[in-house]
Amino acid sequence: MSGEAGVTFSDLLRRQELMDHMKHPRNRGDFPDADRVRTEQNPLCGDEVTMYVKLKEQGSEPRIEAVKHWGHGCMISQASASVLSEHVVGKSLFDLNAMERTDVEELLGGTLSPSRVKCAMLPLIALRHGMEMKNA
Amino acid sequence: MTPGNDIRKEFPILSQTMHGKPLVYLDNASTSQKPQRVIDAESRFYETLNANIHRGVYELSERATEAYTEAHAAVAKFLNANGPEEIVFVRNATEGVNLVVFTWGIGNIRKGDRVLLTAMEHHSNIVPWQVLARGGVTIDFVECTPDGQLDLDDLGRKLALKPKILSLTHISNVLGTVNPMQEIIRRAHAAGAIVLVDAAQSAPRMPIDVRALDADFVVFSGHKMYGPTGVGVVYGKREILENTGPFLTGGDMVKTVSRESATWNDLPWKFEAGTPNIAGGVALGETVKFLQEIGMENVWKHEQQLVRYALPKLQAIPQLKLLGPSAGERSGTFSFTLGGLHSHDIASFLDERGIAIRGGHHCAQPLLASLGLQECARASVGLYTTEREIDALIEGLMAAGKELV
Repeated sequence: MSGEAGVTFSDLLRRQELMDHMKHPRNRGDFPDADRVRTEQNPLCGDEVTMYVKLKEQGSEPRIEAVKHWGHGCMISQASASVLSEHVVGKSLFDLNAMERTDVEELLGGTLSPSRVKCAMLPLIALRHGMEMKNA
Repeated sequence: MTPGNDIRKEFPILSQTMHGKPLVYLDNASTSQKPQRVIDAESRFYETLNANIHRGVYELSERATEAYTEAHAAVAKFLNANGPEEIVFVRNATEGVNLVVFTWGIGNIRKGDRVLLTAMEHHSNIVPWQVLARGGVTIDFVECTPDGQLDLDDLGRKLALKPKILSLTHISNVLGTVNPMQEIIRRAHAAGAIVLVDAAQSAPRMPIDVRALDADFVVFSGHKMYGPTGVGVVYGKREILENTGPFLTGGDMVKTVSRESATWNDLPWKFEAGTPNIAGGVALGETVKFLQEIGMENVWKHEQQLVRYALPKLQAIPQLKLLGPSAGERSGTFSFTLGGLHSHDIASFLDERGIAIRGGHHCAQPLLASLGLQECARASVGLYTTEREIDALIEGLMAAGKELV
């Protein structure tokens, strides 16, 4: 998967893989015994996403063992939550902070306008803020 | 000059393309485009008239003062107010509501009193009143009927609670509902309430006669009515403005200042502290002259033609659910949902076709919540909107329904 400049919004939606994430989101749901829970909202869209994280200790740095997500919003935020729920397994807070806009766009397979990129980043921001908390 | 195709050449931005397609601008309820003569009026001020107002005795300052005062007079004429002393320039409608809350409101509404709003208000006509609510004032809301009209029976019940003020929108920025303002104001006055009319959506669309309405306060923004950003209007009845303390204080709104106190300037300057947006004010004066040359009754007639053209076509789109009145008089603001799609996905899809519509909550979260929604899409026409552009919208929505749902 690589982000291509000039890929339009509807091109993005036509990507089979992404459409599959939209129609059949992975890891949708929650962990009642999550180690970290964080909800983020986008006031522009009314998008809301909650990320539930289970951690495993590996050395001094906790790493993500599994992710579930719940919420509502546009196709981009929901697909991003689904894609990220698979992609971030094994990552630490340090790894999450190192991820940039272009990395998320690459995961989704296209470039997004500044207002829509916020939708794509929302689940990542929830994961980062969740990981920054000491306890769930 | 007539609305529709004929007027488009006056608006330079409309000849642009977006993503290689002609720009179809359908976000007029949010902000409108500007005719060349309004843009010119603003730049001409800086090129030929710029000096501070009410200060210098030199010729240039006199001319700037005259141009700014004359803009107030032009707006007074546009609203059929008694004169420029009833016209206060502010930044926008939001600041206008805040002005009323922090002057008349603070001075006249006490703990235990009530303020009446409606279920269809913009955040700008809710949040400022919540400041009073924190001081022990109760806010009541007139509910809407299922067809998106104001429930006039509920208005009667809520007026019986004796509110000090009824503050409500003339036209809903989401539903397109046109409230029967004359009747509402008559009933509010009979119940002892004064009335603030939020005319942000109506001032660009239909004639407003503040004396025929007998409105106490009217607020609106310049930028939604083909004027510049950063300038808006508060109309207030002269006797009310005279008996109301100032809003912001400082330079220009005073007559005399000692170390301990100050006396207030005459109307309307008492309410315009500091150097105002002079160029924007002058351009707003040009804007209302432009609108009066077209005739606001013609602007409204054009909008009603577009409503009759668009409404059945929108209603025929599979899975499209239109909000607001489905028949009768309404504005050309069409909010809708489409087959469970998020409005920003619809807006992004249409954007690729050069069509600009709005998604989100439209600064009316309490209204959307009462409709069981978090967001919806909204297309809103302006005086330059054509039937061909409505066709482009309909085609785009049909395609979105097919490809995305």
